[in-house]
Amino acid sequence: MAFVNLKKKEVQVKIVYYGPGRGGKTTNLEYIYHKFNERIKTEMVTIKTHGDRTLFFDFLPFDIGKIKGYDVKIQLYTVPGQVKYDSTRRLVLRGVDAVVFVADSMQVRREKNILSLQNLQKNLSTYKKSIFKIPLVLQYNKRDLAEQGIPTLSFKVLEKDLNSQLKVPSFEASALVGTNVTQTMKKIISMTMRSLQRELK
Amino acid sequence: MADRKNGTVTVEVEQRLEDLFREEELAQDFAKDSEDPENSAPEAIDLSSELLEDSTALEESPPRELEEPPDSLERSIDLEHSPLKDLKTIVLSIDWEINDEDMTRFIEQVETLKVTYEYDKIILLFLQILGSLGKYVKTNKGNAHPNAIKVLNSVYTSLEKVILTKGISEQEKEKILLIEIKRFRELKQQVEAKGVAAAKKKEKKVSTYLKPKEKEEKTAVALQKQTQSPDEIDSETLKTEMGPMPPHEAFAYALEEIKQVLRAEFKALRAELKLWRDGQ
Amino acid sequence: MEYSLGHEQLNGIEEVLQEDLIDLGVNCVFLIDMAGNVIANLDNGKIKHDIYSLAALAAGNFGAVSEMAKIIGEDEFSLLFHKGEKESIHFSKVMTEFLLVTIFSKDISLGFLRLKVAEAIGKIKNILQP
Repeated sequence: MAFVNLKKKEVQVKIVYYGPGRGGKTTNLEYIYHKFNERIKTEMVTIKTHGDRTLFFDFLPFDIGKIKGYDVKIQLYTVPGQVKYDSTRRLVLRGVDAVVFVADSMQVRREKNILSLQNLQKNLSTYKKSIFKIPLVLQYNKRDLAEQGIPTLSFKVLEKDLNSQLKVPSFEASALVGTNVTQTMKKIISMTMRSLQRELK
Repeated sequence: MADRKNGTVTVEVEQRLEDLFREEELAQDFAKDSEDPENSAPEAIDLSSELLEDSTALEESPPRELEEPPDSLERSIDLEHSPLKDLKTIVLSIDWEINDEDMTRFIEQVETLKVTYEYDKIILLFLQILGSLGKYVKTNKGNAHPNAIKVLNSVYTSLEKVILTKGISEQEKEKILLIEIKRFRELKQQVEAKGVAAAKKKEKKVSTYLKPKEKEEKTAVALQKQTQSPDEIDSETLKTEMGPMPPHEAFAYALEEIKQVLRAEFKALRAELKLWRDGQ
Repeated sequence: MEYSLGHEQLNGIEEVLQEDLIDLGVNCVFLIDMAGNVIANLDNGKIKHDIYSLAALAAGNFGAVSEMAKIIGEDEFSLLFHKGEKESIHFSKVMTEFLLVTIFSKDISLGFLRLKVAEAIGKIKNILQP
């Protein structure tokens, strides 16, 4: 649950970007950072391998100012997507308030998307959280690849694979270019804050 | 009611997000240098600029400058084969962790070395200071003055220099010893001041969360006390003899005892040096 | 794991951190939960670090090291400490959900700091579980 500091009147919200390896989670954060750090005055922390793959997590904290008298601090995290980093993903998920699942639209990644979503469900359950209850947004990333002739999964297929039971908001996006990156983030923050109503009373 | 409240917060959040993350108005600027935060160096502890409060002992001795001896003297005695080897191990261990077992070993090792070096007055004085510090830290642990460990390390390092430097003169040894005595005195003053401040603070304290530290206060006195032998100072004896004295007074008493011991030793040392010089 | 802390508890914690650690000469100290949230933080007024990033990294670091301990058959390590040239950082668990992180310069010996940290943690435990 979000951390609420009654003394300082502060709320800290943890949002984790989850998904298969090389799906675009870090790119989402990098886009937000480069686009908005002038406005939100933040620094991005990344822990990655020499090959630029997330090793531990990326971290982007920023304030969105006072809401109902509380200073709201948003903390965006990504997890490493590679299968071998499962225990790291579990660590980063600790205390999570909301998730953005970044799926890879490339056809060859179809199975990896599904496995990663199942992995998310499993890791959430270790903290007694349900994938059906936690604020969640799906992002179908790399939509721009279709224009380059690379086989991509259609929106319909992605929805059927990943959203048929969850029925959560979903966005087609291109993190590299920035399409719907901000919208995804705004949506998840909005959903999270709504679910924190009771804490802000 | 809940729905309305939900609506209000959601509206406020969405408006805020809109204000912060409006994309069309922003100019593209990816490369942005972040400001370097100011870094101020942590305060260094000044050990050298204070004038000695009680300089009687030193005034009577021939004038000498309190400075570090030249580093040109090379250590040619191997620590591995020196009597200091075990003490060094313990000192290094204390740097990482302070516990009863190591402090006891430290004190015991100092006692052993006192026997080894019983004919060397200068080294004996080093060891006395170390023993005193060891007992103080062992008794007070977390309540010890933070500088106690620093001074302990400094005294040990100087002792090591004195013992392991081949061909070091008595004068050089004395120089080094005087520096450490000065540090020790400064620590004593700091301990006294801390004891007084803590006593005053305790009177004013009204916090309801902390358990009373009565037991720790009673054992706060720990520096060496003079008993039958001027060299033997036992903190256990001190505790029983201090009885109902408030901690800061007991401290002051103990410190005075130490001063007297050091003065006596110094006097003897100067007398011997004088004899030696007269004989040259 | 849900928890909530009242004003008085937070005040008490800050008092402990101030008296036992900042007044000792520690540069910066913060109490966080294992998710990386900052519960209390104090510094000596001279050095300002990015506490929120440090907290996230500290939680991750501690979590990773704890997992390593389990893999090698240890319940936990008794010392997690990183030594720097000018400043060092020490981590200590407070009960199961919290972490006390201390940043200090070489003026303070690690051994002594560990004594003070243990004392402070004892007091914080009393505040958190009266």
